[in-house]
Amino acid sequence: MRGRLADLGLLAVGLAAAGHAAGVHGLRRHGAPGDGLFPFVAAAGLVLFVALGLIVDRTRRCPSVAAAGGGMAALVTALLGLYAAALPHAGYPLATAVLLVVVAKLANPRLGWTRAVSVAVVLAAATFLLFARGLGVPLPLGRLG
Amino acid sequence: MLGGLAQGFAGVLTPQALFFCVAGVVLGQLVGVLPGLGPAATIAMLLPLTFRLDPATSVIMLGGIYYGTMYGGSITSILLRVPGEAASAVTALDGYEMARRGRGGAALGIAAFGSFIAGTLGVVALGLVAPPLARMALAFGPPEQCALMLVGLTLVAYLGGRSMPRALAMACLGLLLGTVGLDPVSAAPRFTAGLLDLVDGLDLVAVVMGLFGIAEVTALMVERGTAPPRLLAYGRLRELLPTAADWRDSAGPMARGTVAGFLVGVIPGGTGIIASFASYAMERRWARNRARLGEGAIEGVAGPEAANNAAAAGAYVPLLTLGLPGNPAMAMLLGAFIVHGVVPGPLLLRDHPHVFWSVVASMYVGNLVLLALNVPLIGLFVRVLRLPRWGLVTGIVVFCLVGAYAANNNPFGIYVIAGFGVLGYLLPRAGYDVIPLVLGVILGPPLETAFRQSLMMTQGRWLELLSERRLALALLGLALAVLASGLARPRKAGSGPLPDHP
Repeated sequence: MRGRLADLGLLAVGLAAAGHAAGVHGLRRHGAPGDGLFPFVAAAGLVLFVALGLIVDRTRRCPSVAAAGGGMAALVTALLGLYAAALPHAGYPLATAVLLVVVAKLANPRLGWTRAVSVAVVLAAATFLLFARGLGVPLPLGRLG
Repeated sequence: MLGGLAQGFAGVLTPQALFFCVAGVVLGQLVGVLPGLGPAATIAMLLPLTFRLDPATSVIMLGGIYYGTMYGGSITSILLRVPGEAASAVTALDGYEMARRGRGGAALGIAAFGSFIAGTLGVVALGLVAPPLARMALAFGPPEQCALMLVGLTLVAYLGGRSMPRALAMACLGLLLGTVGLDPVSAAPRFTAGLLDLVDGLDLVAVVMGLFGIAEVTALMVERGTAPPRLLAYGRLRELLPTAADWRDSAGPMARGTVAGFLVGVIPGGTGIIASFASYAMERRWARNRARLGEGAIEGVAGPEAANNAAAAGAYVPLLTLGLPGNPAMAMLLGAFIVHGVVPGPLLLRDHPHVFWSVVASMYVGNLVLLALNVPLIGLFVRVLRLPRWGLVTGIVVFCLVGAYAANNNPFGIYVIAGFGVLGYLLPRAGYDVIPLVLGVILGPPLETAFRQSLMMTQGRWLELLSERRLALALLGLALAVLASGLARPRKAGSGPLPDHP
């Protein structure tokens, strides 16, 4: 099982998508190709080539998810998810500054708080001014606005 | 061609276009020197900067970022032995050895001149090849378009991935992800899980930023305990100028690298890394000092750098004439064209000739700017290399956040980059290259449309139709031949985890 999680995950995605495409959207409709035909072909191709890869490269060695840094990947994903949820309420400058402090401390745990906070605040403010004020991107201000 | 080019130069030599061309080249070089961030991620991150520009100026700036990144990568290869982007990996072999022997300046200089000469000749070839190819492509119907896209995908899998089945699996996953959103015929939502944000499909910019930008952030955080590589000295400004002997030794490799690089670049999937490796392989056979290759021979820098930059020009041919992006950076440029309401392909030259020729003319100007700025600004680029890792991480994160939000003015794009960030980090470590995935996402919608139109044209008699459409049949035959050849060849060495160079 070690290192095979990606293969199994992709096989599961392919099988589920093929089933959904054929069952829900249909492969044919009124004598013409159905909405599900192309996704079914793509999903079937995914299953076929992952299976073929497993057979051809059966001696391949991959690190386990944990050894490959999967924990850090999950942490980054969770942080970005929290940021996206907080963005409309907290606004871009505040949410971004908080996220950047956490990211900077994660990237270098020995970094001082004063430096991390000041860099994060400057970066959040500078990008807000550049994109929102300068380029007209409607970045949310949240409760501040 | 000359009339079109004159029109293009008239568009580029305006103060505004010139400013954005220079800005793109400098930004590209600055980001290109940072190890890990390739041209696709850089273009994706900086795309919001072009939202207010007209289509031609926008693509001029993004094109500048593209070839600026390609050159920037070679600086780190030579001084750090860490390629700024994958195509510069070969340059590290001899460039770093030259730097260790006190000839880093000459290596940087020949890389700059080689890039300039090859890039300029590549643009000349682009101007000559693209118009007739676009005229020919106008005759393509849905079966030919469908077959051509299949050839492109199989070539990308054949040339790029270490394992053909895994690369094809990623291409299929990309095609599947490309179907998320409304069905192109019935407008029924597919794979949207009831989310309104997915009705328009997955945003390409967010997908690319996640796969490359956020994945790079994760990689930098995982490697936080490791010491940065030692930077070598590169000498004074005048030491950057190659000697007469350097020029004599480099002329042949540059010429060979330019031709090979352009031809590789034209083929979908023929990325800069393949061009530079092909050039290095040629030099091992033909270079005057081939016995010294790997020990600091200037031919090992001149050839691959020329090939890499000629491939960058060649990659525009399928994009501008067929609407077929051959690599992720071209896919991002395709996205930029579409954002600005211009669809690259056979009709581009007919409907938007000023855009086409402005892009070509901007490449001449951009190459000149690259050369003019490379040598004097090398100290600045080297200072960028001294940026601490945490500073780099926060910089990438903030640009990815703004880019993902600005794509649709909606925080949903941030969830997309988060999801694709995990995939972009873990899939290469499990032996799956993500480049075919990106091309699958891009080509999914047009391939589905062409596929369904072809099936409707046949009304069940598709063998009969193929016998009438000889070109489509030949292209399908080519795709099958590439597929069979790729599946039959022995597994490439080390087909386990892939290096993460977008």
